[in-house]
Amino acid sequence: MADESATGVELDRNWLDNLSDEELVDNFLARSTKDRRDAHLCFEVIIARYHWLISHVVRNSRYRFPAWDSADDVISRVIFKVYRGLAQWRRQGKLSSFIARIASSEMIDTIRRVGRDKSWNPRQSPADPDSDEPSPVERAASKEPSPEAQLVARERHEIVDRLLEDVCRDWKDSVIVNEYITGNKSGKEIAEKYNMSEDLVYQRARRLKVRLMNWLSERGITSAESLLTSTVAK
Amino acid sequence: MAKKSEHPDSKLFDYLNGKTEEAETRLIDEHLSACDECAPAAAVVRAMKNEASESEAPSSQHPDVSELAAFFYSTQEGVSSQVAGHVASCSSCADAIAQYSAGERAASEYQVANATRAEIPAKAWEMISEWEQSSFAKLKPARDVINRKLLERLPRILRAEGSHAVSGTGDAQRVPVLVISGSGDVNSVEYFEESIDSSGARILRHAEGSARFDQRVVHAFLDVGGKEPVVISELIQSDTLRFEQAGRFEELRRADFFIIEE
Repeated sequence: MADESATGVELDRNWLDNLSDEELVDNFLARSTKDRRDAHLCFEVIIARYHWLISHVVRNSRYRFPAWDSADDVISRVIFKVYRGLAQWRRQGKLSSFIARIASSEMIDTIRRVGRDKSWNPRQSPADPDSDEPSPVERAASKEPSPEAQLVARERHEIVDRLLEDVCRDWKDSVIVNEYITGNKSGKEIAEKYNMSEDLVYQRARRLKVRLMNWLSERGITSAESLLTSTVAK
Repeated sequence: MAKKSEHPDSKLFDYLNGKTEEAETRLIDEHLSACDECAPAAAVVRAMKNEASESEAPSSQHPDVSELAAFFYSTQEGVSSQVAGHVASCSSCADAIAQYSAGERAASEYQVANATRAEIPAKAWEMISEWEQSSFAKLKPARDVINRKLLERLPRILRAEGSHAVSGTGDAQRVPVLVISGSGDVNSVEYFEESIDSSGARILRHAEGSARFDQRVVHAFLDVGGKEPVVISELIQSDTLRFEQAGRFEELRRADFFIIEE
């Protein structure tokens, strides 16, 4: 509801405080092309409501940031992106969900950016000298595989990708395949990591098993060899 | 051959993870030796475990963050099968999904009334101010960005070259980005894969993943019906362009992209 208050009447902070999120965002958008100062005031009220959420999402993340990029910096970037992206908020979902999505995306973007710097490992803090993890040197392969071996590996990878694309229907399927079926995590660990019930993990795993068996049976695949060396999956 | 017992359901995966009790393990062993449905599935899962432990998807193949977000927040089953397949085999993208899940949980439990109020940090205001003052990301009449001579030639050039748009991989559409001189000569045509993310922003990623145009300005020439054409400009970052406002025109008839090379 961008009412007459968007047409020149000086804004009152108390009046803004009493608006719903939808009304506040409408006011922000209506004013952002006319009076930037008023738009900023609307935005201040929006962030006053959601700063704690942004801070919580950033500071409680599983990700570790490099020393040069503090949580405060990430929070500032999230707030900037909320400002830039408010026009994209579709009103089907809550504003809190929209803001948490921007915060999470910024975290992932940050981790990907620093991940390109191979000297920094996001899974292992540099200030962790007591870690039992092998060093990058210890982990390095003894020699590069031949081009033929790389081609075979790529083809196998493509076949497995196709199978996974067909059996996974949403993100829950994908993470259960990743962590439980082809990984080695327990249902409990997955339930905690992805905020779902343990029962759901097993229920989905049962469904995935049926889909996997059907997929193999429809293509006449009876062994891992026949999957990874044939063209039936292509 | 022993009589086939009941299918082990999800216990099969615990078995393959080495997490079943001895008696259970023996039962599943027996079942697998007799069941031609479960045995291939078990063999394939074992092979996938090996594949997973031997390789990690290179970062160039990771879905864009906006694609991952759209995948997580989508309520429709069966969408983004490529992303679904990728997340099923990529640990860093699965971690990203866990981040979205944690964020969504925090959002759903969040009570504005109980939250501690806080001010906007000065650094965020600085970024907002810089963005507002920047000429980027603002819609401008085309005549303010392009010289008159070029503006006269541009629609014809874009129509001719823009018709080369072809389908790309998956859901992405390949669109040409013309590299033109200040006088309107076409020096080259670069192809970008275009997709629209869930927020309506147009995402263009260089089809070859080349970063050689990074930090170059790309202009989107927008035909909005009978009105004067408008231009929006963005910088290419990490071989990717993101036009947040380009999807906001209900009357948008056509969008063409070009780089002016002097």
